[in-house]
Amino acid sequence: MNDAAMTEPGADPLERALQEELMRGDAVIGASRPILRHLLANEDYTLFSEEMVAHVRGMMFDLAWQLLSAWAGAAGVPDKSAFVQARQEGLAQRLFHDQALIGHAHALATEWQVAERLQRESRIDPVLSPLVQELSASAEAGVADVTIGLLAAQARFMQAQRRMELPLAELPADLFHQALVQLRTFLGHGEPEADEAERLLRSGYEEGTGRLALLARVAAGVLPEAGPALDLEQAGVAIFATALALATGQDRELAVLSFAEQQFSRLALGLRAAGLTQEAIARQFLLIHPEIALPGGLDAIAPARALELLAHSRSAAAPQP
Amino acid sequence: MSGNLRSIHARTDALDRLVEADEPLAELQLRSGGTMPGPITAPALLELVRKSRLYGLRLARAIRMQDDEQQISAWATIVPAEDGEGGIVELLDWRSAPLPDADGVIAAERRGRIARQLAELSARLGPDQELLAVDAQTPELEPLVTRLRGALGRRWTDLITVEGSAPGSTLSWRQLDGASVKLDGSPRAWSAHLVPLGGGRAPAAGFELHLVPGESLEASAEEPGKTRDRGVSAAIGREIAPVLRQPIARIIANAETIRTQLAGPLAEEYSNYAADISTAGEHLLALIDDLADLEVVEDEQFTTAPDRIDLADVARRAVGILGVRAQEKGIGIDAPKRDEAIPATAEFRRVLQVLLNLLGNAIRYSPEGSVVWVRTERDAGVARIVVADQGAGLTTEQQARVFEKFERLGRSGDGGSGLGLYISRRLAEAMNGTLRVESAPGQGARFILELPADEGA
Repeated sequence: MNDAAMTEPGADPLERALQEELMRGDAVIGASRPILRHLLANEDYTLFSEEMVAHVRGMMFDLAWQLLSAWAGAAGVPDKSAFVQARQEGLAQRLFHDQALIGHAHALATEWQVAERLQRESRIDPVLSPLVQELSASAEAGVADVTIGLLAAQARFMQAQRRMELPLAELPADLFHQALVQLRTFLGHGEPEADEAERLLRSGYEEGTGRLALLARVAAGVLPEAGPALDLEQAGVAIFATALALATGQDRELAVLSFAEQQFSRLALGLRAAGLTQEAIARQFLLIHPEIALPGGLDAIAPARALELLAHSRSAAAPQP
Repeated sequence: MSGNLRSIHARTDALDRLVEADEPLAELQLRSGGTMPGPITAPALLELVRKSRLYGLRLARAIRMQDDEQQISAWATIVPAEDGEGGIVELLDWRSAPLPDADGVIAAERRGRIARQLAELSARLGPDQELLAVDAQTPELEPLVTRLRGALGRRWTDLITVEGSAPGSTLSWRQLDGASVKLDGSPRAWSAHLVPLGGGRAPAAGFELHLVPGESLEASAEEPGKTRDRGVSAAIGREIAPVLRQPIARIIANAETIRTQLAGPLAEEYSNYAADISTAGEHLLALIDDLADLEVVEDEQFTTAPDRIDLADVARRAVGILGVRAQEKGIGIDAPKRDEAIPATAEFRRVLQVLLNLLGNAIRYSPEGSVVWVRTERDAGVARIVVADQGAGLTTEQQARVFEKFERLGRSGDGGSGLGLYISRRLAEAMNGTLRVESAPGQGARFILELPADEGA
């Protein structure tokens, strides 16, 4: 068979269009089975369950909607909702290909799922953990304010996740910037008002009020006595994840992904690197992985060595930009 | 959440330089060797400031900074200036703690333990590195121990020569740790290891001195230049080479199958790629052999098994092996005649190895259509074999370098490892012979291998 003969120039335009469409469709069918097989056979169900995929997709759609609305508002587009509706699908499609953004969304969905499960199974409150209660009653003015801010942010986060939303203002600065770059590329090179709209969006951003920043502040504040922050029952999943990331130098996203089924070595090594004893690690495992028997002898691995092991494998695990 | 509750302010400019800063940030900046105004010395802070300015975004993050003495953590918020010309930094929760030296301490302890295990001579030194007590675990060093014991109270470096330092110099223990030393009466290479005593407090209450034979332990990681001369790990020949040979041989075999199109017809360019793979694989294999050989010839215990051999016969065999390659390049080899015989005392396969190396080089670096001569001669007590080519020749300076390890004379990409001549010379010397070169630019090169003649023949 000769490919050249099939796409001979000068053929009927309709025929050519159909042919191209057919080829595209064939490519999708061709790829569908490996993808499906991958999804079905994946050993780590928690990371790639339908729920996870749906969550990531939902968050990207939501992000696209917010980006377009905010931009339309800042640029003074007359018919805002028509403008947004016409473009939401296209922008979302674009965001699906942004590994940093979908990686972030995936980690958030994983965090939420673990938090929900722990609330159900172990009565660990994702919003008002004992540590948050204690800190919000602190006599030190700054501490109480920050903690109460965190409490509210955490409540918003759980709600947003249930709705599969990802508030733009909650993105870390790098991802906020990345999202704006995606938006700008998607909309094409614009007029002066486009620049002005983007400038308005940037000046309205405040990383310090986001949940992740508040978590980092609280965790960094209590970290010298890491005990309560690295105890799930005391800290709750969110502070626990941030403290684990801070103590081990891992990305918070990676720290969250270490809660997944097949990632228990990363979790065990991370907790050991943070200085937890075998017994303390076992307590955390009982909550996160009740089904896994934690191997003994973790105390024999020095925290510095555990850190080395983690750092060594990190290059492979780090999400590619 | 204790710590410094006061917030610390600073201002940066369009080049991310620190223009103003409150204490203690200003102090940190100066202590780390920075100036004010001047580039921000703390990398974490610099990254945040730059990012905030580039993105035009307000950032808020935990950062860690450190200088020689302390580690500092703080909560940093950066507000970019409206005009993009810099920003305002605010630091909260400034906490400083002494630098945890855990890694350094653990590593040093491990080093000390290894040195203690391997040492064949150990000494206890006082705070000024003066000898207090000496012990040796090997009879070879007894005379030295006696001499050292007769000099208690003197600095050990007065009695033991440290390579690369003048006698009588007073280097600090850090400079001496891992240094190569020469011991009178010992042909082996030694390295010195110093373990400070007194629980890590400076100045140390005293030291343990350990003299370890062979490779200098951890020093190789810290000072690659210094140990390059014996830098090849002893694991290559024994452990790595056998493991690598098999897969590489398989790569070559498969590439050859593709190249020769045994498995089916193929576009020519793919066949050429396969040829490249195969050639690269062969080079790799040769390199592994070289490295394994290198390890063998550098071993203190390396000896050859001398036998009565005929140099002319070895030369003819070498020519036979490389004849095809020479033909491909259109190079003629003038080998010793059939009836020539030069009896010598040497190990057959080692001489063959040297000749293959010399001939291989001659073929590789000779112009097409030239001739390589292999001549044998006999002098009083010496059996000689000369490999002469019509290549570009070597300058005096190149001749001096050509036998050095990893010396490529500026060549690259031809698959050579720069080890061949070095190994060949070591082999020649191990057989009580010599290998040298005579050459001039434009005149070709003559590599001359001399071995003890077999006088009984």
